[in-house]
Amino acid sequence: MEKFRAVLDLHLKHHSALGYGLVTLLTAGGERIFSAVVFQCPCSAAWNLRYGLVFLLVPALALFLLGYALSARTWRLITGCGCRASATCGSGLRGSLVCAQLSATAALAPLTWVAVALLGGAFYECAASGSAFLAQRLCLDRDRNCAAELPLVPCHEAKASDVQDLLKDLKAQSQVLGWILIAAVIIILLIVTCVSRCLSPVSFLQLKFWKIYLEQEQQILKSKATEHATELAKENVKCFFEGSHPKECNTPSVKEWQQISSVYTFNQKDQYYSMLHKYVNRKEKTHSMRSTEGDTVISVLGFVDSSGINSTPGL
Amino acid sequence: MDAFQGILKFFLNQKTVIGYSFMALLTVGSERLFSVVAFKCPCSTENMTYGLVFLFAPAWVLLILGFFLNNRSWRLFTGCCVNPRKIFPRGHSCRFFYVLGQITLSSLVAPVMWLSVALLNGTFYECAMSGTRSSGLLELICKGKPKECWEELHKVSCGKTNMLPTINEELKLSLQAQSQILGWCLICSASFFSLLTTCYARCRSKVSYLQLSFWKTYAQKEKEQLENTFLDYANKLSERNLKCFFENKRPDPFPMPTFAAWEAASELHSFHQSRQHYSTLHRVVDSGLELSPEDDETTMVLAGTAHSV
Repeated sequence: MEKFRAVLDLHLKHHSALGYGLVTLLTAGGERIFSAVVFQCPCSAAWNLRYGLVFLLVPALALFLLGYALSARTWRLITGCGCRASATCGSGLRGSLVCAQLSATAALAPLTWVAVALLGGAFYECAASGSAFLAQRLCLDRDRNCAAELPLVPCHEAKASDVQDLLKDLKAQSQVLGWILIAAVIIILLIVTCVSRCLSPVSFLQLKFWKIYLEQEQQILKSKATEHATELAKENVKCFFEGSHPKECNTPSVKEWQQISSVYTFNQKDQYYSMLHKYVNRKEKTHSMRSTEGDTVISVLGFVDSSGINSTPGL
Repeated sequence: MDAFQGILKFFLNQKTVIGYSFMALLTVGSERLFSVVAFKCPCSTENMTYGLVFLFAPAWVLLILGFFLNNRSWRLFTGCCVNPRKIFPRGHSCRFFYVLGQITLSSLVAPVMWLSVALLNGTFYECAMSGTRSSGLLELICKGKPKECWEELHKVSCGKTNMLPTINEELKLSLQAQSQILGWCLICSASFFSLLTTCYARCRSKVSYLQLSFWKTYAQKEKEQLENTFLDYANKLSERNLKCFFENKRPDPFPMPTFAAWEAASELHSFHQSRQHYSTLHRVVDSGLELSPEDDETTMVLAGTAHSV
């Protein structure tokens, strides 16, 4: 039991890294299965390029959209946006910063897919052998029929042996492109993370505490919400069957829920760790929270909006 | 059960060694995986690019991952643009570069391991070298070999040259031999360099051996305590907030450190002999939240030791 708790603690401490690792593994595994089982290059001049590009890019697009859908922050931003005043939706600049952050997080899985697909080589081989532009460059000092036979190369059906050897070249190009993509993505990721940390108004230890606070708040919110919901449901069902009037239940109103569900903004003067914290500490009891001067969306604090009742924080 | 506890304790004490061994095993495993599954020398004029990319791109990725996973780099960078005085304090402008250098050195371990394992294997280097177009290198490799060597060296890895198979094999083996020699040289020089730097750092240390051991233990314990306290306070604060939200009450005051206190506690630590504070937190608490650093002396403590919170 102790060992199990230790493993669980490790999971909680590094859940972000573990989450990203899991996404990478799943994408890599999925790509291997696709290219081994599903992908069969048509080996025709007209279809190779389109087939290869579709297999390379369409799953990436699907994963990108899935990344948006699975992020709690997207739903926090979008839910109720149409009905409420635009002030709660955030000004243009704030909204675009949040959108940019969401896109960056959602781009991880598609980039992994493309990188693993390029390292595997099958999709690029098929697409490049159907491209007239590349055929011109590759067939420079070879057979006269090189350009005509190039689309047959992925199926090992080219008659001239030096044209068949071009398959190795194509695979090599694909793998080099894949590595360059991985190297470029990782350095961009490091630079962006450094810059956002650099611009953080909050110190290192406080950020650490903040992340732990959010996890705890999420857990307790879930349990308290469950408890409250159970009580309210019991009361309602009891009253329905007994035909009596339910007693006054002190449940938060629609406006209160809206207030705590908006996108988090940081203000230098206060130390509030979530919209809930801000709301509970508001100045006058009956007034709602107002957007005060100095409220800004900070990129490094994006994790605040990722918590919800059901989702995994930070992923 | 006791024996099991004993074994577990032994392993937990050797965390650094086990960590590095695990990293070495992982590097060897992935190198084998790459060279068997993914790496196929194209045997064309692109050999050099292909081989070099396979050698250096994973090393680059491992270096950047090393930066990411090192807590000190985030401690260094968090908030540095907002308050540049934090990392370039008056009179100690070089401290930033010094810490950055330490972080880089500790991140270089994994790439050097990868490079040495890849060179010992020989496939990547062989492919890269066979694609060379530099006349100096070609002369070195093709010395005493038939003239086809100069034109067809890039096909040597696939065995498709017009030379005799024995000469083909000879060339392959000599390239692999060069690769393995380079690999061993890299391992030797890297270990010697790390020994030198450790010795130099320990030599210049103002702290004695036993005190250094105590310091490491203290840092570990403080890290654990900090995490437990964070959890505890986070729990209490969120309980209070949620209770007030659901019951529509005003919150009771909850004492928390000030913004300035958090900033002060997050600074990089440096040891001063007269005051003997073992961490920034220790210094902040002792000096009653005083913020200006005076004549600090930085002790050269290598990566993985006192500052790994």
